[in-house]
Amino acid sequence: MIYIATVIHTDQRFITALLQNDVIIVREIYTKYAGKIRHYIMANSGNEDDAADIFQEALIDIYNQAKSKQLQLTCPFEPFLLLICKRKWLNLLKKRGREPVTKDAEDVSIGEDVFALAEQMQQSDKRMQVFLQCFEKLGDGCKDIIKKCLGGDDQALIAEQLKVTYGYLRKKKSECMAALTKMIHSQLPEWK
Amino acid sequence: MNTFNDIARYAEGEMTADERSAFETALASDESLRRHLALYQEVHGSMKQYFSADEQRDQLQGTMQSLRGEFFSAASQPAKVVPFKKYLRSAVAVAAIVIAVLFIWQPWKPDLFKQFSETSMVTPAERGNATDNLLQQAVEAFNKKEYAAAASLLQQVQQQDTANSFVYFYYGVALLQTNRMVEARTVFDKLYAGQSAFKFEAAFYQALGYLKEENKALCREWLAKIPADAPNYSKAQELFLELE
Repeated sequence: MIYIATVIHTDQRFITALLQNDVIIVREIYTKYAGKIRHYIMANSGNEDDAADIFQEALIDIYNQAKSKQLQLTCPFEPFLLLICKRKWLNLLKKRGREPVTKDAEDVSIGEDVFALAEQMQQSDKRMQVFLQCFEKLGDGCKDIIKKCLGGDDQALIAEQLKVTYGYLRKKKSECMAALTKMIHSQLPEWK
Repeated sequence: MNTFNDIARYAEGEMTADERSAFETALASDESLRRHLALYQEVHGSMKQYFSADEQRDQLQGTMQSLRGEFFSAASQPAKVVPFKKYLRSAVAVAAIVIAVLFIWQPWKPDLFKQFSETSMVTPAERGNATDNLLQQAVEAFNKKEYAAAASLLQQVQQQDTANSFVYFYYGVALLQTNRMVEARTVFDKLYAGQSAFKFEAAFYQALGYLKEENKALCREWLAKIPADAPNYSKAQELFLELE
């Protein structure tokens, strides 16, 4: 991929609002876009609850992406958000064993950069799913240690809680993280 | 394959100096090892973000939850088969809200807990070392009723001065005030089992913890443990009567 000059869209303010929990602008997001998502999902075998869930999850995904990967909006927010919601909804329908009924006629007007951004988000979401699935397969001891150590608590304190020495905890943590990464490594397509 | 064990030990700073320099030499010439290390770091970073508390995210969730009802009406279509998990999720959410409301509102005795739990820390004499400085901050936070901050500061002081029952007791109170009931209970249990000056104060606060959860039976049981010659006996009796 070649980056020429990244021009950040003025709609970046919506991303900032999510990061800062700016209630007024978050409300603006709802006012402007909730109706569209609702309409789309209800026209595609969903109900109000589904629409509200998908909308909320999409915004949290965007928040996560913005927080950890410094998401920069190079396109307008609306088509980006709509695309993420649609993809989430289509995935869910697939999981429920249902086929979507309508075609994505509106997608034609969506620019390439919108797709690229949404793609990037979807990829990291998928990756995270693999990480979590592998995590779930670890033994309870490892799960507990990883959860606690990465949760930001003081390690000396965790050792005390688990009634082990500090040195043992650190050794265990790296063993558990090694096991987890090894398992993830065997699951990710690019390593196969 | 031991690669990931080595990578983890390297990344977690568990290697000896010799191992470390050998690993770094290998890293310089081994592209695949570098990619494995990058994967390790990615996994570590992602899991860390996932597991660490994110207050901002929680706040955003709260904002969205409050907008939800306004922009999406609750499913009003004819009865639909709602997947059980989803049904359960909303039931749990409703239950959580009810519990939270009860906790804050406490319709049964609105201010009994508040009335009896009020306490402040006495500023200890200064000795000017780092622990004292931390304790000073803890006392300030505690007396400003910033209990979450106080709890974390007191916990740190307590780690450095494990025999200090004064610190340990107020740590318990701060935990109680922030609804960390299980941890608070452990603290008070330990103090009550010991022989410090806070033995019966601990019993009283244990009782308050149960009061907070509206468990009057256990509240009474703990109040009853406070003997007539304890300094807080009359306070305990007062609460005992209020419970009737």
